[in-house]
Amino acid sequence: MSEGGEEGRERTGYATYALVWLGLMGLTWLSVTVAGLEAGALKIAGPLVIAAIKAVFVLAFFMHLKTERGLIRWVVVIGLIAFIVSGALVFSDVAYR
Amino acid sequence: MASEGAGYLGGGGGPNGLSSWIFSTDHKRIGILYLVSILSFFVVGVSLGFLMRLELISHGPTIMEASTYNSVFTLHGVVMLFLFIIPATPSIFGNFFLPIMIGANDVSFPKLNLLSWWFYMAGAALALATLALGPADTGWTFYAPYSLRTGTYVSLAVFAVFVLGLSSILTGINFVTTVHRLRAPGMGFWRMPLFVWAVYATAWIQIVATPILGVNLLLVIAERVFGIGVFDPAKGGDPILYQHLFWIYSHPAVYIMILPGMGIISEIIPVFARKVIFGYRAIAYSSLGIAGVGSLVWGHHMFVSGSSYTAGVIFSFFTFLVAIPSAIKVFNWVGTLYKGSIWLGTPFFFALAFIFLFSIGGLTGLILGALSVNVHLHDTYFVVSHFHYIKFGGAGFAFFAGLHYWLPKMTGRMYNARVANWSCLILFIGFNTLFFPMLLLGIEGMPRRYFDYLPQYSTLQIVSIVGSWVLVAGLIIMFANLLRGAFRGARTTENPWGGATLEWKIPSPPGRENFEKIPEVTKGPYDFRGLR
Ligand SMILES: [Cu+2]
Repeated sequence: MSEGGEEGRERTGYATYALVWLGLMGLTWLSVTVAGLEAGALKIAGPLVIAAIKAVFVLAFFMHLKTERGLIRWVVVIGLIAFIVSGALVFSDVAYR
Repeated sequence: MASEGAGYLGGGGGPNGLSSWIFSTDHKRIGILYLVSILSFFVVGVSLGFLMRLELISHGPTIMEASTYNSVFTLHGVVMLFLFIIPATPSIFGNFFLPIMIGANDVSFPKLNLLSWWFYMAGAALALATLALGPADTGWTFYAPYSLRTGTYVSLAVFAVFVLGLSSILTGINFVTTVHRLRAPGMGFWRMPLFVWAVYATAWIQIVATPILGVNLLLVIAERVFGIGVFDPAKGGDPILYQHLFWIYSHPAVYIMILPGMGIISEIIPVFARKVIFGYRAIAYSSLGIAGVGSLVWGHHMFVSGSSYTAGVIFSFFTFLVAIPSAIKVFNWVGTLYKGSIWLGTPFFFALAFIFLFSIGGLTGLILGALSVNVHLHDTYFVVSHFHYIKFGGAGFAFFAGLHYWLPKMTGRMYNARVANWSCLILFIGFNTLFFPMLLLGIEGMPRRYFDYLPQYSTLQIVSIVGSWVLVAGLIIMFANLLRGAFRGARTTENPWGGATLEWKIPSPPGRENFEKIPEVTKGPYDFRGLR
């Protein structure tokens, strides 16, 4: 068993979780603000980019991917592929209607 | 001694009160919990279906009003899909046999497994609460914008499905982890029984697809409560987006129903043909193939909903493609039978019925997947018949096959084989009498979900209704026989069918610990040398 093994894996402290949570709240405030601007396309692109950044934070800290290794990290790829493929197929409808 | 008393079932001085069951973390006891609860809800679902058919025996309101009929078919769908056929095989047989078949003493997360059953029961309670309060009348698909506007308890019904989805995800996570981490020494992936392969592929669909349904259902609730306007065209929303999100889950959900059933058939066929299964790797890969390609076909439910023609062509193509791995399985089962030394046991009869009914279901699916033909058949009885052939004729009969194959192992007692064979025949006749006329009615244009019909449909409707009586009679005989067998049947041996997988090497019923010593696996799952 190459992956696994509790030793050598750093533990994330509660302080870090709290900090990340505050960061996420801040980003939420930012996306609400951006959505309220009279900025045309930015109104949509901005919050989407911010949401993507938030997702990375959640995956890295709350879902422990920062400290995981091996196979467990690769499992994320399955979710990512599923997301991209299903998104692309939905757009094959929306974009050509 | 593990097999003293009635093994894991208690007795012999072991604890056996209600709390020793509903708080048990033993995967076998949890499997039995699911068995009892899922079959109870199946009875509810059958009763609703029976009443729907009966309503159509004459024109106009016969035993219920049109609005009641709408609620009955909605609840029939919700109960049968989310409470019966989606969880049935993975949660009952997956829980009970997956760990045993790979030589493990339990699943990876036994407490999560119990939590999953509790979520299932909570979801079921919520779904049935709507029955008392005022059941939704949207159909089990909860299509927007109607589901956003109707005054019935849609939010509660939708939330019930959300909770059931949570249960399904937890079960999936448990099975994937168990297969990766708890296989016995020597149990490589290519020595796993095909049932394990099937449940493993299913578990991935449960993990990847179910959250999308969850998001979708939460959006419906948010739209109903806060009026956010994602789906409502009056607020600039897109009702077809609802259908996308719904079917991204709900088409793969068909494979959550049918894949584990195919796994059961892949176990039964070689055992009763006394032969190594033909194309082991092809069947294993086709399970993964169905799980993968089956996730790309959802748009075939929306050909006439106003989705783009481009999307229609793409989804139609993938729909044809997914027939290939399904056909691979059917051909491999038939190939296994060829020159086998066949023993006509009850599970085998159910397996044969499955292959026949599933083939009809699959082929009618191809007809519906063709863009042009779909325009004519969309929303008719043809669709209703097609998915009952898949879900009841396919997944349901496979589940019944599993009951007749594994229940003796689970209870340590054997049912009456003659009665069981008769019940199989009656079910088969009843099923086809009920659903085959629906194919014809659909081609003639009878729309689904209507509580009344034009006079020209009368004859076939009556035939179909009589079929529902035969089917219900078959179910009563089958369950009476199985129940009697489970409690009063003759004691059975460790290996009544001469199977080669690990569950046949431990006592019937199994002891509290599956294996006193974790076995060392030295041969494949269908190597019958030295057995029987
Ligand atoms: Cu479909």
